[in-house]
Amino acid sequence: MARYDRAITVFSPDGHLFQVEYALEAVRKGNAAVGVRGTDTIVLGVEKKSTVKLQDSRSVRKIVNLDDHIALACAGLKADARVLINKARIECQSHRLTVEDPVTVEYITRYIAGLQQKYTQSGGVRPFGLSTLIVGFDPYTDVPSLYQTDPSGTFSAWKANATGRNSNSMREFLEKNYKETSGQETIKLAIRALLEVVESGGKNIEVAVMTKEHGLRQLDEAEIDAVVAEIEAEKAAAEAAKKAPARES
Amino acid sequence: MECVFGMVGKEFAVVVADSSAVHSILVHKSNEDKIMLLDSHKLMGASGEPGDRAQFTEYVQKNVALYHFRNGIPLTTAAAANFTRGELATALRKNPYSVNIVLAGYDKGIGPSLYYIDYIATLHKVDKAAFGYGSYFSLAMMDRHYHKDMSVEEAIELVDKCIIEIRSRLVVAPPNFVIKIVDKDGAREYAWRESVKDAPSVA
Repeated sequence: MARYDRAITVFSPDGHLFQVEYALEAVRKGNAAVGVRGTDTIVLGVEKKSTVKLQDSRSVRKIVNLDDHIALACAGLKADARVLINKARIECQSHRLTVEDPVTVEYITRYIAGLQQKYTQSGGVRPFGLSTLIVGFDPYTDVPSLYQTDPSGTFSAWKANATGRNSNSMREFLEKNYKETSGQETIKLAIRALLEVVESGGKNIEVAVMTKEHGLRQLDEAEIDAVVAEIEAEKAAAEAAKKAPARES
Repeated sequence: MECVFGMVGKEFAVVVADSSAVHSILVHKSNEDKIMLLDSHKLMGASGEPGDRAQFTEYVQKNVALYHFRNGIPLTTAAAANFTRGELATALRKNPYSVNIVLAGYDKGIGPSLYYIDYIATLHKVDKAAFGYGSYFSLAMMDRHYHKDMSVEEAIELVDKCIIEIRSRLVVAPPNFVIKIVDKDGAREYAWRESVKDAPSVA
């Protein structure tokens, strides 16, 4: 199999595109990212490595705006992300210019996924090493959406999803605990999922909330700490409740 | 006979434009908005070839938005004016845009500013500006009555004086005007001056 991973255009005998699979490995090594869709709120959360003390954290925004109503978080090679995000931002404005309408979430996801696919079928280039979580509200219909793309260029819509490090554990948690939520409940669910794999604390996670009225809002450390405290209190109460009946019998 | 003019007051700038869309001898509509909101704190009043006017101002507006998303902060008025001039200059000797622009904006820490940008990419930072045949009258009126740091009321009085001159002295004077203002609270429509309204639709 080692002979079939030099040029991306080459299939292996058993139908694999190794470069794409290696790119997915790069994603699996990237920071954890989670997205949860509520009825009126969509939340994106990303793990933040807190070992960099001298770095100005404001210059490393991991959740970005593509347009007033669309936001993106990603896991994987951040430099590749810059390129994709830039192209997506241009496409958002270009779409507004040519058809006088903002993009729908599906349109821009399809565009980004299309770009990622192009780089799996061109000579001399390697795939983008990142998976993206794209959220937003469709213009006019106000329907909230969450989409995920990956290095192969596939995309699909999700109620909640996770990517990056330990995404399987987060996804399992979400599958067990997902229910239709709105507002603060959606934020709590997203942070709970992240806390499954990340050290708890406001300085280890970056959370952004998208609503129809206020667009994308980054939560500051204090707000995140408050929600984390709430979650821990609930967990402690649940533990105590579990222990109490056992003692009675 | 398109008229666009503007002036800077105390902590605000105002841009006025006529609102008739004309093709040869036919007036298509008399409530055409020729002053575009570039972003929350910028106004771009444009006159000239209708297609170019809409196309070029929308193009500038989308590029201003793109800069905002890419960099997290909005362009200053001066930067937007220089970008606009640059685009006009690049196109000039290939595919020129026939658009004259009055760009007004408010920047935190700098205050209000007004830029005169003509179709061959001249750029001037000014206190008062005007384009078109109406400029003969509005510029003269502003030269006579304008002074620095006018209040909104004084400025609108002067705007109305200019509009009266245009209406009474220009042979094919546009009937309706739109006035937009930009200050620290943002860019917004201030008023319309209509002397011809669309006929009410038959029920």
